This record gives sequence, C-alpha cells and structure tokens, in this order.
Amino acid sequence: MEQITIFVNGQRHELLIKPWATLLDVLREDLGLTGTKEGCGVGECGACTVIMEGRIVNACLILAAEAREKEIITIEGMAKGEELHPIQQAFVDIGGLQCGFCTPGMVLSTKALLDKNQNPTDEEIRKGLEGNFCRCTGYTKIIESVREAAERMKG
Amino acid sequence: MGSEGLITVRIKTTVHMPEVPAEVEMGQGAVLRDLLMKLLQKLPIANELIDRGTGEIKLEGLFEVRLNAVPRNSLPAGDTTELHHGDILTLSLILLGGG
Amino acid sequence: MEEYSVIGKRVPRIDAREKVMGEAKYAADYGLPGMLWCKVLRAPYPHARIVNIDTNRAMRLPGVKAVVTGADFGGWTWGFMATTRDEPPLAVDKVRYLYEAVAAVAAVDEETAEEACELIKVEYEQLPGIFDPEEAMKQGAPVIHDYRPNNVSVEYHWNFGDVEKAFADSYIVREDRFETGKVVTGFLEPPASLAYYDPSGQITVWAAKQSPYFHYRHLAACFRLPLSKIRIVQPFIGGGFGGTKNDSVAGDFCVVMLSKKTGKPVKYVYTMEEVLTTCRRRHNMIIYNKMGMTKDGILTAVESRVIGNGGGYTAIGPLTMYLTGSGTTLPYRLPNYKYDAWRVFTNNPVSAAMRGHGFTHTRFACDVQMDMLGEELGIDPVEIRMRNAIDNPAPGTEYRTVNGIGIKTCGLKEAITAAVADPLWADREKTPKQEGFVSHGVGLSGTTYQGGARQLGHQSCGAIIRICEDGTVNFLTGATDCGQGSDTVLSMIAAEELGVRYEDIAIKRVDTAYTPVDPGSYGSRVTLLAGQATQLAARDAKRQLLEAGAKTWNCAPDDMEIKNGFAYLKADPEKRMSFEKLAKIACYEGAGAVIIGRGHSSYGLETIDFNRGTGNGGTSYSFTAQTVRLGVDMETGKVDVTDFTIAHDAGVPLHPVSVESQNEGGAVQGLSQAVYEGFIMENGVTYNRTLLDYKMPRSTDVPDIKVIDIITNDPDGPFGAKEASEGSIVSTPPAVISALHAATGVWFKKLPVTPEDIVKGLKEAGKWGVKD
Repeated sequence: MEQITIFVNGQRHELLIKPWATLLDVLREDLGLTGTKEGCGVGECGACTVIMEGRIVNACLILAAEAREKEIITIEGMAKGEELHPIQQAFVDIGGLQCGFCTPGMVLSTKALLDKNQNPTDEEIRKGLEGNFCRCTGYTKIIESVREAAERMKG
Repeated sequence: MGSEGLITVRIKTTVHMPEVPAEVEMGQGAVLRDLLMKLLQKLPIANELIDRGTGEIKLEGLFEVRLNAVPRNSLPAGDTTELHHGDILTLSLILLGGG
Repeated sequence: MEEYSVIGKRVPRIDAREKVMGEAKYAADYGLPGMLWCKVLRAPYPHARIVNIDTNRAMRLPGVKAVVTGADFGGWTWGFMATTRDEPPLAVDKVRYLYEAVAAVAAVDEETAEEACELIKVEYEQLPGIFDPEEAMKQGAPVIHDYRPNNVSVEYHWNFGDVEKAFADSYIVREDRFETGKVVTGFLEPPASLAYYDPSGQITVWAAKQSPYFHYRHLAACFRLPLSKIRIVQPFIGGGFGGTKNDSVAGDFCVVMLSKKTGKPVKYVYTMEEVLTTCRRRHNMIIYNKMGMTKDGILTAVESRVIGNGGGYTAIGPLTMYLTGSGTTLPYRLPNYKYDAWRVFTNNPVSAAMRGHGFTHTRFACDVQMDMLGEELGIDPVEIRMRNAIDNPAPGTEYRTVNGIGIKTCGLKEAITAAVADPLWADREKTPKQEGFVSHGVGLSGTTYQGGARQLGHQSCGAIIRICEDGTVNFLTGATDCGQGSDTVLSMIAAEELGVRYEDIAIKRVDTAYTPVDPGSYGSRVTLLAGQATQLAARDAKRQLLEAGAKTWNCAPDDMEIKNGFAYLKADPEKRMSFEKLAKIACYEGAGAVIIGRGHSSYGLETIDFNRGTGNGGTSYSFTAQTVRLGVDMETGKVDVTDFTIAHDAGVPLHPVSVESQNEGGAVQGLSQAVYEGFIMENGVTYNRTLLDYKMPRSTDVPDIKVIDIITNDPDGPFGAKEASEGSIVSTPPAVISALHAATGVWFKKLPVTPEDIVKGLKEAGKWGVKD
C-alpha cells in the first residue's frame, strides 16, 4: 500500500492506495465520487474524463500514484452547491444528453475547451469532444450545447 | 370419419414447432386432455407442462390453446370436451419476456 | 395542433440535472457494506463439451468467498418461449460460442476474483465448430443443439397473393443478394448488477436492465421464489438499444447465486471487451430479394429469402425473424408477397434484438432494390417512391396490408415531399459533383418502423399516480427510460392529463416491490402503451379529486376542470382554487382520503401467427424519408458524410427535443452500420474487440442533421403520438447506399461498405481513381 495526497475539487485527501490503483479506482472507490464513469477501462471512450492540472485526461489510464499532489477536477466539482456551471446549464437547456453516461466526460471536455478557446468554431468543438464517445445522441445536441455554453460564458 | 373408428384432428401452430405433427389420429371417444397429453409429452419441457404428481396440464403463460377457435379455458366441458373428426386444435406459443 | 400546456413544449429532460451533475446513479455506482466482487470465467473455445470443472484451487485462494458453475443452477434454462428455453445461466454440458461463461467467483476485490478465475481448471473436449449460417444449414454440419439437429432455430414460410403469376406478368424483375453486417448495440455503460440474496428468501438487485420485469421473472424462476420476493431496483441506465439489457446475462444470475452462497452482497461489472465479444448483437442476415414492377414502376411482388445468423442460443430469435418479414408490406403498396426465412444456430455469440429490430434488414434490401429498378426503368428515386407509397388514410379509415397490418395514419408522402423540398436534395445539382478525388452524392430513402409493440405474452403495463397531500404528484411507472427520454414524456403526459405543471410531477422509477408491471423498453412501446396507462391513471386520480372538489362547491364533478395547476368551474372560470388546495381538501376534509389513480394499457393484442405471417404486432407505424449527402474519395474509398435531412412522421412530437435527439442518434447509429461498424470474425473469434477497433462514430465523424416533424395525429397514440425511436436507424442505411450510388455509380449491397469495398467496386466499374 502507498500513501498519497491528492486534491480533488479543491479538497485535500490523504489516501492509502494499492500501487496499481488507477486514478479512476481511487475517485470512485476510495472517495465515493461515482460521477466519473468507467466505460472501456482502456482510455478509448472518455467516460472517465477528469481535469488534471488544467488538462483533460482519462482517469483509467492515470495511476493514482501519478496523481499525487495534483489538482483534479471531477464532474462533482463543476456546480457550486445547487447552482449549475453555465456549461451544465447549457446542456440542460438544449438537451445535450440522453442516457447521461457520457455526460460528465462531455461537460469536463467542454470546460477544458472553453477555458482555452472562448470562441470555438464548430470544427474546434467537434475536435475538442473527439475523445468522448456518445452512442445515444448522435452528438448533434451536444455540439449545440457547447455552442450555447460558449455564447453564455462570453456575455 | 377416419379409418377403423379413428378420428383425425388437425394441429395448427403459430410458431415453428417441429416436434408437433400437422395431424393426429385419436380413438373414438377421445377428449381434449388425451390429445394434449399426446402432443405435450413430445416436447422437451413436458415435465413442466404436465404435473407429475397430479397429472394437471398447466399451460398458462406458456401456450394458448384453442379447440375450433374456442379458448381452452372457455370450453364448457374443459379438458373433457369430446373430440370429433376434423376438429382443429391451435397451439400458440406465447412469446414472453422473462417467460 | 391542439393547444396544450405541457405536451409539445421543449421542456428540459426530467433527469437532466442529476445527469449533468454526475449525481445520477447507474448500476456500477451502487455499493453495500461487505460487498464482494464477481468475475466470470469464460471458455476458450467456440464449441466444446465440458468434461470437468475443478474449483478447488480457486476456492483456496485467500479472499475468495465462493465459486459457482453451471451445475449450481440445477439444469434451469431460459428463453422467450416455452419450447425455446435453451440457454443456461452458465454453460452446463457444453459451450456454444467463444467466451461463453462457464464459472464465476465472488472475492473481496476484482483482482482476487480474476486471479481465482485463472485457478479454475476446466477440462474441455473441443468440438468442430460451424460459423456461417448457410453452411450450418447443410447436411452433415456439426449440431449445436440436440433439439434442432438441422441447426435451424426457427423457420417461417409465408405466402400472400400469387408471386409467381405477378412476376410472370411484371415488366421487370430483379433478384439481388443483400447482406447486413455484424453490429452491436454499442451502449457506453457495460452491464452491471449488485445483488443481495437475503437468507429469509428475498432477492434485491440493482441492475442495468431496460426490461427489469423480465429479469424479475427470470430470477423468480431460476431461484424458485415467488415474484413477490423479487425486488429489482432500476438505476439510471447508460444506454440500451435492445438485446443485452432486455435479456439477462451470465453475470446477472451469478451475482445472485454467489450472494446466496456467501450471504453477502455481490457486484459484477462487465468489461467493454466482454461486451464486444460475448454480449447480444444484431442478427446479421443474408437477404435474397426478388422484386417486380410494371413499366410505370408500380410494385407487383416481392419474394424474400432470408437467412439469419442466430449464434449459440435462441433468445428472442423467433420474434426477430417475424419482424424481419412483417414490415416488407410497408410502406409501399404490395399485393403479392412471399417470405421464407431461417434463423440458424452457429457457434457465435447470441444474436438478439437491436434498435430497428427485423425491419432494418428487409427495408434496406427493398428500398435499395426499388431504386435499382427505378434506375433501370428511368424513373427517379422520388417519383418511384411517390407512385408506390401508401396514402395517408382518411380519418376513420384504415389501410390493410396483405399480411394484416392496419395503418390509420401514414405521412410517408408528406415526409418525402418535405425531405426533397429541403435544399440538401433540391439544390444537389447546384454544387460541384466532383472536387479533386472526392465525388459527392445525395441519396434518398423512404421507410417505416413499428411502434407500440404488442406481441408478447405479458403485454399490459400499468401506472400509478399518487397525489401527495400538498398537491405535488408522485408518478410511479413500470417503464424504464434507458436514455430515450420516456421518463420525461410520461411525466409530461401525467402533467397534461392531471392539469398540473410539469415541475409538479416527481417520477418514481422502477422498483418491482412498489411499481406496477411493465415489460420495459423495446419495440418503441413506452410512449404509446405506458403513455396510455399514465393517461388513464392520471384521469382516475383527477376524477377522485374532482369528486372531492365538487362536494365542496356543491356541483357535479363534470362541472369542473383542472388546468395549469388550478381547478375551476367550467361555466365560470373565475371561480377557482389551486391544485394544492384541492388536494388538501380531498386528503384532509372529513375523514380524509388517500388519492391514488391507477391505469393500465388497454390496447390489447391481435393474434399473430408467426408461421403464416398474419396479424399486426404494432399499435401504429412511423414513416421516415431521409436524404443523405456524402463525398467519396475515388482513390482511397474513404467516405465523409456531411449532411442528413430526416423527415419523420411520429404522429405528433410530444417532446420535440427528445424526438429530434432520437432521430439524430438513430441516424448516426444507422450511418455507422452502413459504413463504419462491423465485427471482424473468423471461426467464432472476434478480432476487433476494443472501442478503437470496433469503430463507432465520434463527434468529428457525424454529419449536420436536420429533423423535420411530419404531423399525422394518430388516433391510437396518447395525444396523437407514434414512435420516434427507431425510424431513423432503418431509414439511414438505404439512404447512404443511395448516396454512394449517386457519388460512384456503384450499387453496394453488403453492409458495412468499407473503403476497401468501395475501391473494389470502383475498380470493377472502371471508375477507380477518377479525378476532377
């Protein structure tokens, strides 16, 4: 077992972990943050997307030990209490979701995109979400939601 | 009338059931129960349809049975309904999720 | 369209908040104290007899609490009909497809459970395997199930009218071989279940099931418990699309058995590799289609010979082959029709239902063949469809197909008109056909899908409306939203019928201990059938409330109405009280009362004869016309699909956002089946078993999609609705084939159409490498 310190959604956590535990394991099992999902377990679907030190990563590919001392944002860190982040609100208002399993990853990828690029073109939006697989929506309303979020966050 | 006092009953099925013949010959005076026993015993799941203890034939939720278009449970004489030459027995397999 | 308060409005999904916050809990998100983890051991051969299983070493591994094998289930098998119960929870005498489940372990964590699986020694006797359905039907092929020595799981032979004469009298007849691909549902959430077997004889399960009531019956039968002791709690479902999450998989049964053995809760979560190599997939089919027309392009007859690849077990196969044939007489008038179909066992994973069940295969073949004949006759794709399309029946009348399907509304002509009026089709000559190596093409299709499926034994479904004393509403549904948005639509229906606001409805999802029975999500039935049940339950609750209100106002209940959260006197709408007040009066006045409304769907059933093909398995049918614009690189064969326009007749769009989303998602899934997805398999082995290798579209792959609602107001759907879940997965593949033909001049008849297929086709046609 190894001792690590990680910062998740602004909170500091001291954890005892197995050396082979992934960040995904730790978030879900040790911290009970089940908003981050396991889809494929091998970094191909984006269901486990989190933001680590400002960049989106697949938590299933990051060893928990690699995340020591790092700042992680999960979906649970997006809203302020009951108040949704504008990205989340845009997804709700446009209907950029169906089953919701890819949604946490989509929201975080959107945040990473809009944090860097406030005025993305449609191409840039599609590229920004390329790592997040969705089977339900055909992506159409997800892309619309990101456009809407970008609009709202500018004004 | 069939040969030598035998009566012929036609069997219709609504789903492919290769174990079930298109026609069955029964003796004079045969009743529905006799026909059902004869047919159902051919099926791999016979034990489930015919109660080994009581001999009761339990088909609810599994098969719908009609004799000359009348549902089995609506026949006034039920399983003791006498069969006649040219009768048609329809066996519908019920497609049931979780069935 | 009528003026409704909630119906037809673009309200946010009822579950949107919890989903965007990551608070929505799916099966794998549940845990219980003392929980154990389950892993499944799978067979390394596609066809083998199980000679012996030795679990001793596995049992002795520290951390292992129990091991189960097929023998633990006492010979119990299941299936969709009494005579097709050929599938055990774990293989018993033999395995019939590669990686079929053979044993399972419960241990303190997943790693230990996996390690224990490796310690289980299974002795197999390999058997020759058979993988191609046409080969499996031949004499001398290895027998997969003793009860079907010719490997034919089910076969049908239908004959309507006189095809022989019709073909003889036809001006033109074509015969073509079509093939649909090996594709899977592709949900992102793998199957998972947390089970607890209470020693007092009760089972509680949190399972990723889109038909939890099927699973409830399976568990009752498997564990010999009364239904009243089976509790399935339905979490949020991460995608369904039919098949796997309607059926029960090995893990589902094993966790319950392991819990029974250990006295602890047990959880399993499948890996995506398990999903892609072992879970249910769409039947891939070979369709030998013969179609005849008059000189004017009027359909005379169709004869289809279909061979379906069934895989190792029957599952819902009999229904699949029925649906595959039954839709051929729609959406074009067809007086003569012959259908011969075989579903064949092979040593492959089980083929089952999937979105667009059945119709997908034959609508693809028929729609493409119709265009091929049109081309030969010199009649364009729009004209040929308009000449044959079923007209929208006048209100009160019905169009009957030769096999007994009744159509009360058909917006196909309107849909085609709308789709081709759209610039995508209308202006297709205005953009350059070829740019460099890329050749553009626009295609069209006109198809149909069934809604309100009613073929199964337990058809009926119920709903309960419970009025809380403060006027808010608990809506208990037996139906499962697997992502399609049914919770939202049903809540809207409840609100509209009761006369309250959408926000006042609190939906209570499936918990088989408390909610009424519903067969679940499949066959586009929830909005139609569970919707009707919801309407009736709401009306029942409303009636009870109005009776109480009428006593207070000293009038008759019929003198009152409820709308937008207020009860009022019809003759004098100024006299009103809030719904909250009405509820309080009803609940507290005098001895008080408990207001519970109940309803169940009453659409009933038509007798369906699967053997003869007669009868109507749906409540109504949707109609879709679609155009597709794409570009083909004439050198590499790469396809880039840029635009879809989908005109869909769903009767009335009750929740326009969901109708659009369903059309968009279905079309992308259909696109994927047409040109991207396909299992690469040989001798029962799946080679592309990761999401990277089993290619499904990403955000960068999808076209711009426009959805046009065609309104026909069907008398048989709540508020005029028809299905909006599966139409576009059926309409997309033929539209893509039509577009590929427009771009290349080549007809592709086998899905998926890969770049290699395109290059090969272009070379054969002498068009490869053509450049602008």
